[in-house]
Amino acid sequence: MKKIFDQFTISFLGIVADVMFYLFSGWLLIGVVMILYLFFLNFTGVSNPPIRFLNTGVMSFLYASFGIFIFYQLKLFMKNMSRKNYFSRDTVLRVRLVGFGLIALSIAEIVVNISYFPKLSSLAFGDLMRLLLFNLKFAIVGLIVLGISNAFCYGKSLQEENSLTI
Amino acid sequence: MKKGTYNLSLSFVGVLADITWYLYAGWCVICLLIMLFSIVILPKFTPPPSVPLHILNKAKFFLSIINYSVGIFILYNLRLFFKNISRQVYFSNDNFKRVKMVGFGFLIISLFETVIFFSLSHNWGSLEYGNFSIQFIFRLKFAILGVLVLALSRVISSGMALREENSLTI
Repeated sequence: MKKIFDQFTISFLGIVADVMFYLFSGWLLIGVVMILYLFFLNFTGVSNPPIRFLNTGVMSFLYASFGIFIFYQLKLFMKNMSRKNYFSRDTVLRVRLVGFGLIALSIAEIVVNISYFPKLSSLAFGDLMRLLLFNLKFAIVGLIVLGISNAFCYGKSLQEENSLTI
Repeated sequence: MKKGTYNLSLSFVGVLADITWYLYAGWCVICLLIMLFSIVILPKFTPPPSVPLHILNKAKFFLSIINYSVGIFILYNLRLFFKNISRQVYFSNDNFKRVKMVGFGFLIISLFETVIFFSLSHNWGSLEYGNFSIQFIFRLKFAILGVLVLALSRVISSGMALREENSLTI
């Protein structure tokens, strides 16, 4: 019963990671199409191209590319888990990449949000603090994932030690 | 540099666990006091507008108490788990128990969120299929998190077995 439950959790999470990966791929495609459409409008000489298209396109591109990266790593991580390969070098690498990906996403989000302000001098201290506070959520999750990656690293060293003792 | 980043993440995890615990516990106490005030004290001074609303408030109150207590239970266990992680105690029996409790707590929260949402926020008649499925998917996020945490508990138990094996072979 316990074994079936374990198998179920791992395969369920693998499916979730797969689905999210494909969803983010579709989202990236939409972002790219939006940006290309805007460039096309610019080339054809439309005087007032819809700027909201650029905003949505850039944000879609940003989120989707990071989402694809993170969920691709999660997909491979789940594959390792389903093979009961819990403490391999590859697993540790995947977990760390997820953590660093989340921190990078947070930094990119802050940069993009700051770039929306017309002038950097118009950015008040309160605005900056609000931006930092609201966009740091992914960085916090990333740091937690990096903390948990230490457990995987320790497990890897234990397994190596174990395989050396006959 | 590399070691510094991981050490920073470890100490950050410990501090974050403490801060979140105190913030959430404080927030729960404030919410419960406000609800108690609006249900027990306020109706004594103003007559209740209608009976169904009164009943609804009471139902909301009891469901919220359950929801908050599960939230406190999850955060307490998470706090102890992260404290262990920041002390570099990774594969212990205590960690295994904490992670399992957090996983099941998330599943219970997901269930209660769904129950609260569907029983109090909508008329069953007005609930369209599209709305229903979107709301259901949004309520599933805690369930997915719970399953992820339960998978992590499997990793911890495997690490515990490795550690025991290692301590037996000298």
